[in-house]
Amino acid sequence: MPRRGTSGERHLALFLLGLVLLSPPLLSIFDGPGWLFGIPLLYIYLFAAWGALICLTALAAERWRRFSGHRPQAGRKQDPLTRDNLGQDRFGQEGD
Amino acid sequence: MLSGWVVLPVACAYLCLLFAIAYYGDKRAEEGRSLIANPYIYTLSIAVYCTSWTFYGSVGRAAQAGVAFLPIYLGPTLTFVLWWFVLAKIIRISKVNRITSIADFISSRYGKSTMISGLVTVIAVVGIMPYISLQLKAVSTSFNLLLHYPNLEASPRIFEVPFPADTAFLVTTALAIFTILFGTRQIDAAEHHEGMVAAIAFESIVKLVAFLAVGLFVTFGLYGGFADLFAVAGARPEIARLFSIQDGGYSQWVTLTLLSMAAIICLPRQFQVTVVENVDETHLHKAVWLFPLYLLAINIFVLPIALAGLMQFPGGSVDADTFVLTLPLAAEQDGLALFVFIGGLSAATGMVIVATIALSTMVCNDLVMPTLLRLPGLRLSEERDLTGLLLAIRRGSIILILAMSYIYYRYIGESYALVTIGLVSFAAAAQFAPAIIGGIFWKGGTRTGALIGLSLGFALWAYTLFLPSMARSGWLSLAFVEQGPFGIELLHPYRLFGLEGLDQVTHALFWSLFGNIGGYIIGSLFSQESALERIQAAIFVDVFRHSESQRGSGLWRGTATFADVYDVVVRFLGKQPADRAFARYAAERNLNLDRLEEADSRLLHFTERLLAGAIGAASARVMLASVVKGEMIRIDEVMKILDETSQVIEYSHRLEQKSSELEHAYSDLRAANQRLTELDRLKDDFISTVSHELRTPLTSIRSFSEILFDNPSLDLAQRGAFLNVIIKESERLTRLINQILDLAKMEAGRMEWKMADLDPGPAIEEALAATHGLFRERGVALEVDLPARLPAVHADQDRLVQVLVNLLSNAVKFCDPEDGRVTVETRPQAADLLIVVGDNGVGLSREEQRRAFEKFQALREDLAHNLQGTGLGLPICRQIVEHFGGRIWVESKPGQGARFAFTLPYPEAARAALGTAAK
Repeated sequence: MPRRGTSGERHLALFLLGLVLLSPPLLSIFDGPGWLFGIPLLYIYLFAAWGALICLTALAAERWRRFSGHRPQAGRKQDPLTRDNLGQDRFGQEGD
Repeated sequence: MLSGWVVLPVACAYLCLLFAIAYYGDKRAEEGRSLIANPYIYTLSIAVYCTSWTFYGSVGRAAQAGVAFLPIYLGPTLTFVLWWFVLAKIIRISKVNRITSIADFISSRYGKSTMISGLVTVIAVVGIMPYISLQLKAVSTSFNLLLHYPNLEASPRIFEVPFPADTAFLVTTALAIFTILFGTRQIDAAEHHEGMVAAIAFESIVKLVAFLAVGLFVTFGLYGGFADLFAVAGARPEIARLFSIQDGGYSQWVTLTLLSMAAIICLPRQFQVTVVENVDETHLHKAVWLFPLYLLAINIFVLPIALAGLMQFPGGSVDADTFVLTLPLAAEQDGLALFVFIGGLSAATGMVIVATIALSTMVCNDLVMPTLLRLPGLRLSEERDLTGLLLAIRRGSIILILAMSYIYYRYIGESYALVTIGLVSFAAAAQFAPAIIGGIFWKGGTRTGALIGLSLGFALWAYTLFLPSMARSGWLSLAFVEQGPFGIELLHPYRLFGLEGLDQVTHALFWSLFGNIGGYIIGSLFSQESALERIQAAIFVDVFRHSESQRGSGLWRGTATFADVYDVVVRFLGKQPADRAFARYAAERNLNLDRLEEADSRLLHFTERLLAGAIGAASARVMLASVVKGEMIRIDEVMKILDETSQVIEYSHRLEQKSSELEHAYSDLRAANQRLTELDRLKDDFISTVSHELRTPLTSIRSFSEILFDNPSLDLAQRGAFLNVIIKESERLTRLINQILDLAKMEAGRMEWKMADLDPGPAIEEALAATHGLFRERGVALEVDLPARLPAVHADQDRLVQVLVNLLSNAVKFCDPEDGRVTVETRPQAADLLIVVGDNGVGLSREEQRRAFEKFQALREDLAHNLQGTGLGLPICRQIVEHFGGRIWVESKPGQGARFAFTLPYPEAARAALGTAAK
C-alpha cells in the first residue's frame, strides 16, 4: 500500500504550505502591475491561495474523519459531567 | 435619511429576536434536544471573531493600506490548518480538566496557581476592555450616521449627548441584561451557555449576509462587477497603489499574521466559544475549514467596497470606517443601509456578549473567588450556601466590565480609529500565547517562568502600546509619546532602546514577546517546579495519552467524609445540580450514595473537577482542601510511598517466609498434638494396665491364701509350694509397685540421682552377678566381651546396674528356649561407650521395635504373662539412659534374635551437653 502520511503530518504539511504561500517573498512575486480577468494579480492570488488552502484542509480533515473509523455522535447532547468519560473518538494518529 | 422612529424599533426588535433565540436555545438544551450540537453552529459561533472591527474597520484599513487588511484573517486560517496540533489538544485538555476560561487554562497548567490566574485575568480585562468599548463606539457611530446622513456635521459629538439618551448606553444596558440572563443562568460555567451560543451563531449569519449584501450591491449595483470596479479604480493612481503592498508593509504583514494566529486562540472570547462552549470535539473537524471559509467569504468584498468608497467620496469627506454604511445611504438604499446597520449591530453585540461572559467568568473564578476564599476574616469556606454569592459576583463583574467599557468609550475611545484599538487588544491577548503553547508542548515550563513571562510581556505591552494610547487620548502628557518619558530618548515608547523603522504594533509585539518568551524560558529553566506543577505539566502535555484513564485521581490523599464533600458542592452548585452530579457518579460506578461514608481519592477528584467547572481550578482546590484532612500529595511523599511500597514488598516477602515457618511449626504442632493424644491414650492404657497388672498377682495371692485357709489338711509339700507362689507373687507385686513409683518419680523429675564419673566395668560385673542365678536356672549361655579397662562414663552406678539387669533378664527370658545364648559387648566410641546385650530369640517385628520402650507394651504376647514381666522394665531403662545423656534402642530381625544397645557418654561429652542444655 502506498504511504499516504498520517493526518497529523498532512496538516502540518498544509500549515507549512500556507506559511510559504502567504509569506512576503512569494507575495512579492505577484505584487506587480499584472492583471488577471481584470482583477489585480496580487488580489486574485491571495484569495486563490487562501481558497486552495481551505480546500486542501477540508479534504484532509474530511478524509481523516472517514478513514479513522470515527463515528460522529450527531444530535446527541453529551452530559457535560461525564462527557470525557464517554467513548469519544480520539485525536489519535491515523494509521496507514 | 432614516428616521429614529424606524431605526430604534428595528434595533430593539432585533435585540428581542436575539433574546428569543437565546431563550429557545436554552429551553431546547433543558429538554435535551440541543440546538447547537452540530459543527455548523459551532463554526458560526467561532465567527464571533469577526466583530464590528471586521465589519466596519476592515474597509477602513483597506482604504488606507490595500490588501494589508488580510493578515488578520489569514492568521486564524493558518492556526486552524494546524488544528491537529494546537486546537485539538487545547480542547481535549480543557474537557479533561473542565477548564472554564483562558485564565483557568493557564493557571491549571502551572500548578493551579492563583497568582497566575489573577494575572491573566488582569491582563485580559485591561487588554480587552478597549476592544469592547470599540464595539460600543461602532454601534453608536453607525446609529448616528444612519439618523443624520448626509448631514454628517449634524451628528452630535459624544459629549454632547446626555448619557441616558446615548445609543451606546442603551445598547450597553440591553447587552448587560442579555449577558446576565443567558450568561449566568447556571453556576457551572462548564455547562454550556447554549442559548447564548445559538444567538451568537445567528448573529454570525446576519453579519455575513449583511456584508455580502452590501458588497454585492456595491460591486454589481454601483459598478459592473469586479473587473469594472477594478478597472475604474486602477485608472486612478492614488487608488491603484492599494492593489500592492506598500513600503514597510511586509514587516507589518508578518506581524499581523502572527498576531492574529495567536489571537484566534488567546482572545478570551475565542477561547470561550472554541474551547469552553465546544460540546463535541468532533465538531472541530468541520470547523477547521468552515471557519476559514467564513472568513474568506466575509473578506471578498472588503477591497471593492473600500475602492468604491474612495471613489464615491473623494478627498476624505467620509470616514473610511463607515463606507459600508455610507455607500448604500448615498445611493439612497435605506432598506439596505438599515440591514447593514443590523449586521454591524450583530457583529458588535456578539463580541460584547461573549467577551463579557468570558471576562466575568475569569474575574469571578480566577480573581475574586480565590481572594475571598483565602481571606480568613470572611470565613467564606464555612458559609452554607455560596451559589447566590457566586451569581452575584458574576453578574456584578458583567455590569462592572460593561460600565468600564462604556466609560472608556466615552472618554478615551473617541480619539482612535477602530483598527488601532483592535490591534492593541490583539497584542495583549498574544501575551498568553507563550504560556499556552509552551504549556501544552513543553513539560519544563514552570509557574515562575510563566509569571515572569506574562508580567514582562504585559509590562512591555502596556508601555509600548497601552500608555501611548492613553497619552494620545489626553490622559497622559503627550510628551510621553513625542519625546519619551522625561525626555529620555532611549525609553521612547515607539522606539524602545533605539529600535526604529518598525510600525507601532510590530515594535510593541517584538518587545513584548521578546520579554515574554525570554522571561518564560529563562524563568522556567532556572526555577524549581513543584510536584503539582510537574503533575499538571504531564497531564497537559501528554493529554492524549492520559485522558483515556481516570488520571489524576491519585492526587488527593487523605480522607474526607462524603457528607463534607457533598456540603461543599451544594454550597457552590446548589442542591439539585449537586444531587444530580453525585447520582450520576454513583450510577456509573454502581455505588450506593446512602451508604457512602468516606470520600475516596476518586470521588475527591471528581468533586474537584465538578467545583472547577463552577469556580475555576484554583478556587476548587482551595475549597476542597478545606474539607480534606490531609493535603495534596507531594512528590517527596510519592517517593516515600514508592519507598514504602518496596518495603511492603520486602515485608510481604518476609511474611511469606514467616508463613512457611508457621506452616512448619503448625505441622510440628500437629505432630506433637498427635503424640499427645497418643500419650493420653497411653496414660489411660497405663492406668488400666497397671490395675490389671496389680490384680493378677493379687488374685493369685488371694486364691492361694484362700486354698490354704480352706484346706488346713493340705500336706506340707503342697502347702510349701503354694506359699512359695504367694511369696513370688508378693515379690512381683512389690517389684511392680517399685517400678511404677520409680517411673513416676523419674517422669516427674523427682528421682534422686547420684551421678558420678565411674568405671562401667564393675557395674557390668555386678549386674552379671545379680543375674547369674537366672542364667544358670534357664541354662542360657552367656558370652561377655569385657575389656580390662573401659573409659570412665558419667552415670549413676545403681541405676546403671538396674538397666543392665533389666536387659539381661529380658534377654534370658526371650532367648531361644532350647539353645539360649546371650552376649554382652562393650565398645568404646568417639564420644560415648556402647553396650550391647544380644539374644538369639525370635526377634522383634518392626512394629514391636517401635513400641518396645513404651510402658506396658509387653513384648511377645505369648510370653506376656511370664511371671517376670511387668512391661515397665524397658521404659525405665530408657528413662535412666536418657537421663545419663545416652540413647537406647533395639536392633532386630524376626527370627534372628534382638540386640538391645545403649550408649553412655564420657564425662567431658556429658558436661558439654549439660552446658549446652543450661544455656
